[in-house]
Amino acid sequence: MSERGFEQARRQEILGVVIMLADNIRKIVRASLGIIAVAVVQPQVLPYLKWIALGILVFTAAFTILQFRKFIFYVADGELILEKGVFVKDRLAIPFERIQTVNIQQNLVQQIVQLSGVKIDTAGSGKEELEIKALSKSDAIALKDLLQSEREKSLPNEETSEQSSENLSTSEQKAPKERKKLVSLSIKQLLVVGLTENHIRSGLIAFALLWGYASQYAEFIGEELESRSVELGKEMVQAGWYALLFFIITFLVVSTLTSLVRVVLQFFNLEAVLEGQKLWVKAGLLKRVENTIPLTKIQFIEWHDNPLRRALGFQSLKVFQSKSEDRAKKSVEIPACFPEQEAVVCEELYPGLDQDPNLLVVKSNRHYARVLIAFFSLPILIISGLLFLKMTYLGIAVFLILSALNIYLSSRFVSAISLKLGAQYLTYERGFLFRKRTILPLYKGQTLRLKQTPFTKRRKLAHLTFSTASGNRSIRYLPIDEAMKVYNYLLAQVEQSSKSWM
Amino acid sequence: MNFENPIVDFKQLPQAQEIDFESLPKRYLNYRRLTFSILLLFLCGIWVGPLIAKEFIPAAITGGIWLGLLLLIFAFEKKRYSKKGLALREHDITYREGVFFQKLVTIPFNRIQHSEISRGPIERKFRLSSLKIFTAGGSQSDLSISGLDPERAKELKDFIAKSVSKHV
Repeated sequence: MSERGFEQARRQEILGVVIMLADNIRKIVRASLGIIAVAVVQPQVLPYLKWIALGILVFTAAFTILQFRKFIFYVADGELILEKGVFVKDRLAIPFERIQTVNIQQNLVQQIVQLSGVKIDTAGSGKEELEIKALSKSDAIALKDLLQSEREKSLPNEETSEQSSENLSTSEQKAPKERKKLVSLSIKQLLVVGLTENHIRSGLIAFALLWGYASQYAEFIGEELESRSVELGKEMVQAGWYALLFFIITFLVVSTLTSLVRVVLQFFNLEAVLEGQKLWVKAGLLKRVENTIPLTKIQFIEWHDNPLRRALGFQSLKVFQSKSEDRAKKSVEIPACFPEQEAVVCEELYPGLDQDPNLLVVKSNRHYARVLIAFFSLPILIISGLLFLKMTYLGIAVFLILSALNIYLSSRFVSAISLKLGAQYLTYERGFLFRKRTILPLYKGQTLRLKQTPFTKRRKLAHLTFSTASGNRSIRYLPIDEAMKVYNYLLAQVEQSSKSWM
Repeated sequence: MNFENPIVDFKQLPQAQEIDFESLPKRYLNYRRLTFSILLLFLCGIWVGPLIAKEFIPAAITGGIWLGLLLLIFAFEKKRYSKKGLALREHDITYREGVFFQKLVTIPFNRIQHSEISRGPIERKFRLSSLKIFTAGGSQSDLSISGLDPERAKELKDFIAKSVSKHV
């Protein structure tokens, strides 16, 4: 491993300057969006802006060259050491045992200059970005392998204390680094995924982002926008239904486009590969992200689908792993798995899942449906009441339709909730249109919580929450006796287990 | 493959609902009552004080209402205190609290990352400590127990540390 010479202090590849420059320019543009917005509204600033921009560019270029020259990294005494900083020297030492994951990434610029970035996630909760941005592909892989193998060496207890992993490691030695492709996505499949996204959600996110950007610079462009939007509002009132129709169509088109673009950017050329005891997920068009997840770090997996995807016969998979505090909830997504791929993934990640006996199935109590119906009845009453005052029959019709919908959807939603307790796995299903299925190996459980309000107590119901190293899931309105069985069983399984869980 | 599939008798499992909980020191109740008294008397003072000279009877009635509120809080705190409790078993720690909104939390020792003792200035006057237990994966799954006897808190912390190191 030493032939790569990571022990000697060294700089990144020379083209790294380009990558760092692009990065710095992006940061500056982002920070000065407000000024640009002002310039657009008040064009008299424009002539100066050109010179200011040029000045900033020259300064940034000089700064970047210094920054590049001062960035040094090497491996010494069980630590990865990064030295950086132009004016203030900064030395970061990362002990191998604190390294959680090492990922190789390529953004657009890195792809153009054919270099790779190595991103290191540590166990501490610091937000500090640990990234070596410019390495040749082979160096990046070598560094990653070095860090990961050193990390495993620095944690010897994990392997000796545990019998099952001994078996695993011997079998690993027999077949060194067996590669098994789990999922790969063709362009056609990718487009199908994009078209079957939850468009309403991505539309809302897109509008929220736009709104966020707009309100950030509201003080600069506020008045202008306000006077225009008042006019727009007046016109819309005059145009009435047409405007509403136009708005809805625009929303749908924008949403669909947003989700399509997002999916293509994020999941282009996706590949999920199982290598040894690690799951690799590689994807992305402009920014290629490579995630490596050691199988032991997977806390639980979640299958998501929606009516469209169900009709086309696939679902998406989210893999939740234990990560540092600030990104604890982050999951790695494989957006499309067809049944045969699902079977392979389950078999590889969770052996014995299909033979796991059903010890207990707990369902949410129907009282939950009544609570939901009551909750949604108030806005329905207000809307139809307001309509009723203007147009009597329309008001009544809207009330009847919405109430029927409310009752139907609420009861379907509640009856879809179920918790299956097996000998090794817990399966939590919910959702009626947008279904979700969480599968948790029992020994990965952590804190358990049971909550009761005066209302649920009277009906002998309770809310159960189980936590893992990658987030919580709550199941509401369970019969207390059944919930207690799950509680005690899960605890007993966790406490008996000596497997390493994160 | 050696596959067995025995029927699980859920009654045979250790039952978290049947644990005997140890209650917190009585000083915790006094501490809560004192902090509430200070807060309420302060609020009552600003409200009623300026009125006393001008209109005595309305001021007295308002004062009475504040006093009643304080007594109500005293009663509630007593109830709350009696519901609070924690229990150690060989493999986990369980905590319960809540009068109206009741909560039962259990953390297995082999899933605890570390624990921490903290003491506020008033807590110190009452000789009380808070124990915070941290697990991996976000603050929502952590547990914080306030109003412990300092020695007991130290004991618990050591006990947890010992049990945790046994499991790693």
